[in-house]
Amino acid sequence: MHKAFVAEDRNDTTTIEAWRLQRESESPQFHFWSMTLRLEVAVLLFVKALREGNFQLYIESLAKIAPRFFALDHPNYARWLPVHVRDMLDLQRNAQDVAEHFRNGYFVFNKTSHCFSSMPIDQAHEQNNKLVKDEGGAIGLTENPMQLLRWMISGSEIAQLVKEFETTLTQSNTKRDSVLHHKQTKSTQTQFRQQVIDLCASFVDLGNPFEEYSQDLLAIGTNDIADDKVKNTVRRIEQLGIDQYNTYVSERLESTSKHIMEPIKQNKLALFSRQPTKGVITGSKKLQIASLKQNCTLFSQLYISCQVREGNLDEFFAHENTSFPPALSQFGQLRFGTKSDLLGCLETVEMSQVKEPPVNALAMDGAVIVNMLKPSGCVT
Amino acid sequence: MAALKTLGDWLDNSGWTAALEQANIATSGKADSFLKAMYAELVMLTKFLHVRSMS
Repeated sequence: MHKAFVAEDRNDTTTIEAWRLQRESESPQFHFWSMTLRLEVAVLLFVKALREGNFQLYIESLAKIAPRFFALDHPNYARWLPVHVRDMLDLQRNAQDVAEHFRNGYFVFNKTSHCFSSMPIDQAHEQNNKLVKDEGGAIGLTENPMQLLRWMISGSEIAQLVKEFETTLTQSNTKRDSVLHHKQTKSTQTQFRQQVIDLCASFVDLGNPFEEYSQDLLAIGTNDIADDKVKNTVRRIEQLGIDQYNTYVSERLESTSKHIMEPIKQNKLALFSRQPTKGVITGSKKLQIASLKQNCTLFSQLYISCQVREGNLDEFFAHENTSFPPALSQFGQLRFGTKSDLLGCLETVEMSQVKEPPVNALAMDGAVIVNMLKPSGCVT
Repeated sequence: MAALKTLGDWLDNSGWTAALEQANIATSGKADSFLKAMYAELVMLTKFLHVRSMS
């Protein structure tokens, strides 16, 4: 974005923020990627808040992300995240001690003394569960209640003993005074720097979305134009999410005019991955299209190879060239057909007799006789 | 935070994976899997950013 801002010929007094707002209104492509950038930054701040135990940042970033759950139809998160944000904001009033502890970073868990390595408490629980389970977990124990109970009681104790034993073994090898993050090394920094440069270069190669001036929304790389409904989503998703979030908070948390468990209406917005299909394609039609595409590719390949090798094209196309001949199979399954269809072919060979011919004797197949007999009271 | 796959839904088919692939940051399959577990990618990125800001 900065590259596009610098490159553009404009009045020098314009700030990047004002330029961004103007460009967002002009180009849907710019708007999509600018919005993505903002969302990613919000999520990065959320992760940073957790890793550093910064409670204020945690609340702020959560409040920024929450409207997106409404807009993109995640009802469970949409329902409970505003409740959590509100609880956390009210903590100072309702439970001062807890608020004080949370502000001091005790809403996350530190397993090591390394900086930027705090984790949410539920994640720490999950890691502890894994330690207790050890290899194999509870598989096979669930059918034996006594064994399962024994394992549940002793599992955590054994895990603690094993951990203590491992700590004493590795104590001499680890730098206990180190507070650096385990990835805070020069090679990691170099690699990351290179990846950032490569990614920026890759966006420029594929078409910098921040230098797009058309009214179309394009997929980077393929340059496929997205449906107008996707463009419409880009234009309204941000405001829609904020409006729904505010309405939810006022209706269900402040005025309580609606119960919190009342259904949240889904938006079903069109996205790049959920574009409306033009015309409904049924299963058999889909197979037919796939088969046609396959044939098209195969014939073009065979046609080219035939020309290169100076083969006789007439002779080549006189034969069936697929591994499963279409005359015998369709969509990978053998054609069964209808037996009576053969009559049409046979009639061209011999004229059918409409009148019953005079006969002296009648020969009948055993199977015909069995079918002629009545099931009850007959013997063969 | 499985809900952060919201960001993955938003970016799916937008060309994000193509950019990652072209930059040799991830293979096509890995870039696709990032969208399903956007949180893992973001944690990795935040760690890198932290390391960078500390240096």
